[in-house]
Amino acid sequence: MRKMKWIFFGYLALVAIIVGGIGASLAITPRRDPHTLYVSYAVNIKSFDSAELYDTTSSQIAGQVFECLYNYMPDKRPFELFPELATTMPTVSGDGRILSIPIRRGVHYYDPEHAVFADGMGPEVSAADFIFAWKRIASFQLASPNYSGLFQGRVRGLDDWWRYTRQTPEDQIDWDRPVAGLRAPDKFTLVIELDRPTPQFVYSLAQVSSAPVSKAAADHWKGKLRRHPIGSGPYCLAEHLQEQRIVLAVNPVYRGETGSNGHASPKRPQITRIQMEYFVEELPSWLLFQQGRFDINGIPKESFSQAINVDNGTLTPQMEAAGIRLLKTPMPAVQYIGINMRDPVMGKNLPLRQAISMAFDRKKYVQVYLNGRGRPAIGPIPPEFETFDPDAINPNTVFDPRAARQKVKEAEAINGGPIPVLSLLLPGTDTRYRQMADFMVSQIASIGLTIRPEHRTWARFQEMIDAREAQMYALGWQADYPDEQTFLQLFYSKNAVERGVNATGYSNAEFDALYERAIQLPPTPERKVLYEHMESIVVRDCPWILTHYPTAYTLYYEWVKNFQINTYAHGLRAYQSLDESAHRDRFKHP
Amino acid sequence: MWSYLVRRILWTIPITLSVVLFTFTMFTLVASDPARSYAGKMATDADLVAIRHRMGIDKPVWLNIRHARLTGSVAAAFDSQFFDTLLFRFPESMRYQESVWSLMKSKAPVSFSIQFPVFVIELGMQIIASLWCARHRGRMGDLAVTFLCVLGMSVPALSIYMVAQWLLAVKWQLFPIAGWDSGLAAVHFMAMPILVSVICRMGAGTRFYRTVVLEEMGADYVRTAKSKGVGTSGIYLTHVMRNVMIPILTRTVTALPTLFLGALFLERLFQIPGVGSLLVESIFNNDRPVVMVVTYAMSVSYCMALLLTDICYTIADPRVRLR
Repeated sequence: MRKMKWIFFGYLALVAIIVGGIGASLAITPRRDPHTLYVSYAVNIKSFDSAELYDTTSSQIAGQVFECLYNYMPDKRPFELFPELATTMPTVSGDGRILSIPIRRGVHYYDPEHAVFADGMGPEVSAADFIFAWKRIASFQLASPNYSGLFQGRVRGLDDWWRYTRQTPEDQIDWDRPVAGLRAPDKFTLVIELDRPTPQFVYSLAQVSSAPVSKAAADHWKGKLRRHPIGSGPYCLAEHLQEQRIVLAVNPVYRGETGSNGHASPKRPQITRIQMEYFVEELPSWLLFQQGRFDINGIPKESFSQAINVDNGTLTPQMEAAGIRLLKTPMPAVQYIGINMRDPVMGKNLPLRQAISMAFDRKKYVQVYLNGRGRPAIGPIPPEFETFDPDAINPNTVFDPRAARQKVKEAEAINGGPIPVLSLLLPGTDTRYRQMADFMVSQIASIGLTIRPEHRTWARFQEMIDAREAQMYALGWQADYPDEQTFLQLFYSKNAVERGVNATGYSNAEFDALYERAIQLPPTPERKVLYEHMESIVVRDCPWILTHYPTAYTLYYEWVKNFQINTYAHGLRAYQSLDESAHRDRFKHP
Repeated sequence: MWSYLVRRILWTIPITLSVVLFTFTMFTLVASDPARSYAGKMATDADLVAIRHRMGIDKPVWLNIRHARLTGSVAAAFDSQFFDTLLFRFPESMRYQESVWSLMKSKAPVSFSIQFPVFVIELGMQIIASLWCARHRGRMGDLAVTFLCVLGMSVPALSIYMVAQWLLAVKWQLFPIAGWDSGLAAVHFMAMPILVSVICRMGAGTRFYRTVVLEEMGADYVRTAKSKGVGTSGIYLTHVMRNVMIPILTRTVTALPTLFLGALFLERLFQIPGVGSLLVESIFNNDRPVVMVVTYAMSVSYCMALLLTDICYTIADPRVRLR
């Protein structure tokens, strides 16, 4: 009995210690630093190694640390490049194959840990650093996911380098082995020789993954470079706790001004620290945003009506009164349902594709399922591109169930009988995809057709598309650079190989001829006419059931000044500032 | 006893191997290409070949006969995906880009720091509540506790988490909504996950122990103790408690491995970077090395927990002998 009493009191003491300790900790609320921007992020950051940067979130965060040869002017529309680590735009040879780029002098790497460079300041960024960085991307052993997107089949000799690294063990790779298309005639001049004229290549030089890498840093950290980024951008990595927090601090050797024809950023960014908390679920970060713990946030679907007047798409009075502001950003993207053009039912039956497209009520879909966060699509190229004509009418995207039913009759005649059950492949099982499938099924049922939704994981979805096993599939495409070619490449027949970007297998000789002509041209009125013609061919042939152009809704507090979104640019935080007195006035917590 | 322990440890080997073999086979046969999950939308064959090489999934699945023929070494035949798994030659996690062991080392203490207080608090409260209910069987208090237990078991844990977040953190601002910090600062974020976990788990345990205690209350030794004049507290705390230790041990010791493995939804919703959220993310992202290591850890620790339970039986009940 006495023993049991001791056990009981011992237990009570343990519980009291636990409860007391936790209770005491609640009184210690972390202080809010007036010069820190607090935001959340939802995607686990795989790597800070520029060669391994692939997803949008990683690129946006690492884009504060790294600089590239070129960047986009933050607030200029149409989008325009300016030289960042280059001093001018590239000088292009007469045949359009050789680009000569002078590198800015006096730009230094910064090592925040002082592990590679004793006083933190690294050597000057030089042409050799770009060549080294790009060789790393094209190294088989590194398996960079950026090789195909940036360089494969473009730079002379780089594919041979890839083959060489495939045959060579990682520790025996000769990094000084020359690549014919990458040369540094002097320390600050970079010459790139392309296999064929590619005017879009310059956009690759503005992607964060093309940033220069210091060989000394790579040699020091080896595989751990992904945790120890050393760049020349406005910020450096101060802390990274996996799936928890990323803290960026101002780079003390950042030079600021980027050039006479570039957009000027201050020498020392006004936001001196950026604290990013990892929140995979939307709801907790939304609640923290409402408490003023985060400065910028998106809007979860289930809380949309709390933030936005559904009737007119403006902020609710409560949000306005809380000092919250709304930024609507049309994304350079299009969402669609792709058609497998090699499918025996869909591929040869234009009226069937048109019928499905006409039966899809885009306005209702955008309003009901996307809370108005988008715009009905009328062509494969979204707004913000030069060729986009908001007044254009695409008869296939006009909601017309009667005309759709007529098209179904034509389709049945071509098919030689009733249309069988059609399948729609979706890359996920979450609510968004289920709702989309339900809507599609009900819309198409109204014209007498049946669709069977099939939900798959992203990887399985990709495999099925590669194997042409999908009849129809829901997908989207976001532009990597502000050139219509990024969308039109999706219809070029030579890209319809296995794992090519033309996943529909669409093929049109006239389109191909125009495409081959257009991609060799610099941005000229002639090229614009070709792009418009190509788009009209795609609209006519209807290999995609276009759904919408998405619009991002972002909320931010009034104390965040000069907040803007530019989907292509990097390092934007350097242009922003904080009015902390506004925060103190509004919220009780420190 | 020692021969029993050695036998049990030896039995652990085929059990663990079977679990690993089953998991590996399922992943190989059913799961999608992990390189595809990693590579992204524009990956070409060249990208995928390189990524598969780095992941080690360009090797044959079971036996590398070709490699053995080329080298003339029988040992080379075991240079395959299966033997890599079996011999703990796990590649780095493709999602986290670091060794799986270092991931486990950093995340297991986080899960433990939540699950251990939950375990301690809930176990004691469950036993106290069940003894109290058994003593007041059929009265209002017993009915009320039983009702609350059933309610707690019926409402999905996720709903309780979300209501708690809204009520306790947003409305009353008693706790931080979610988040984590390193070191001792993490304690600040522990209160609410611990509180809601205890609430969610109280019901099932209390109901179970109440039934066990009630069963013992009808036993002959309780009647004898009463006739000898032993007080109610003495009957419950000395006689009954000793006899209900076997089911309590079975339930609690086998729960020990979960202290390190965390809770899947709890960690996700409260943004706790523990093993539970690691496992969820890894399954969603087809991160095979992580899932294999966690499976390994789970099967080994569960086998060890069962062994520990057997040993504890002999301490709790001297009549039990391990042979």
